Amino acid sequence: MTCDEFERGLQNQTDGVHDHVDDVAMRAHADCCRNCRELEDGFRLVAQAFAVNPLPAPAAELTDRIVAVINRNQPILSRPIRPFVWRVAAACIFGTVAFWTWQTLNRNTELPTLGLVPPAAPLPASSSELLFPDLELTGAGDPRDGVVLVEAVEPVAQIFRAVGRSLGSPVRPIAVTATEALGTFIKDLPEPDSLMIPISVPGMREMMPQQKKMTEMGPSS
Amino acid sequence: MRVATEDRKLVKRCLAGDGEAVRILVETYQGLVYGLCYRMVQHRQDAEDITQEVLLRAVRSLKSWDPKRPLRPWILAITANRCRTHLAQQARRPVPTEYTADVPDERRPEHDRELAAELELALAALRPEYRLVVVMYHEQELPYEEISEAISRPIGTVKTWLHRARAEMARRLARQAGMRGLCPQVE
Repeated sequence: MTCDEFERGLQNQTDGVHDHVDDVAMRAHADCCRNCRELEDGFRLVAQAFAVNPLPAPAAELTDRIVAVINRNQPILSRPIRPFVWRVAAACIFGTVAFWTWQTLNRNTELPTLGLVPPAAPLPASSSELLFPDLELTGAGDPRDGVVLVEAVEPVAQIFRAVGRSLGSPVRPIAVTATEALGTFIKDLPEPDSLMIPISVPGMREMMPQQKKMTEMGPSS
Repeated sequence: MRVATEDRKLVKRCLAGDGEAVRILVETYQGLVYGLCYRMVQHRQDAEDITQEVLLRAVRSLKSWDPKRPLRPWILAITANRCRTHLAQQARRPVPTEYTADVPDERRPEHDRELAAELELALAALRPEYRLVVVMYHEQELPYEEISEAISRPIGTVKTWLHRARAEMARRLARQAGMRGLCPQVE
């Protein structure tokens, strides 16, 4: 056995993987090699030295000190979440889901129109039926009074539509409902002759009943 | 496997902000970390400071720990890195006068005290990486696999370093023992 083999044998002995044959060969080599014998004793002393040199105990308050330092410096650790926080979080989640569902259901709802043509210019007195076909202007009153009604209602409907388009949900459904209600209101209006709205539309003056009667009487009377 | 499962549960509780779990973690690993630190820097106060720093760093980095791997080598790796940094800083500044055994234990026999002192000197004479593996193997009694993981080196390298370190220490101790008559077997 060479000195290198002896050293490897010592390593194996320390690792517990040597066998009896190795032991005998190493013993024979150590008997005739002083250096290897000293090395073997040194290996034994290393193990012995750790055994007789126990670690000094750390300071008694070391654990408390470390824990205190950790508690002071642990922004990454989350604090325990209290139950009410969970309840608030659950309510928020439920609200979000409900709103999303409601918004999805109303996404394709088109804004209803009143079937009115917005007056771009001063309306001709004879266009009442065209502008407001659903309103039956029959009876004793002047059918062209409906023009006044259109002029009063249509801007409001336009405002509702504009608000609904520009703001979207959740204002949109409100605008839809309001516009529908307005349309219903118009359809359920009483007879035109009961609408005593002051007339200020240009071109309407000559259509007032008094003027009409005067016109029928003629200059000859 | 059981230890790994317990470690995972403990870490989970720590991450949830459980103060008691943090204390258990500190108590579990404080001795291991302190022992390695003490052998590496050979100064009690410094070892305590490094232990505190290592455990603080470990707790703050728990999120980055891979639960599939054991916790002990991970903490030892942090310890080894911190000790290396400390030794590098120490090499650049004057050495305090009491950088040996802090308080001699008078209750131990003279032979043991001399051997312990020789061990401290032999460890101090080793390269830091050799010292690490010797302490982990002989004092912490860690298997090669864990040492390998803690120092991020292959097992073969660990064995080589350990053998060289032991041989260096053995020659030194045998020489000193022969001179002082501590080792009667040496003729």
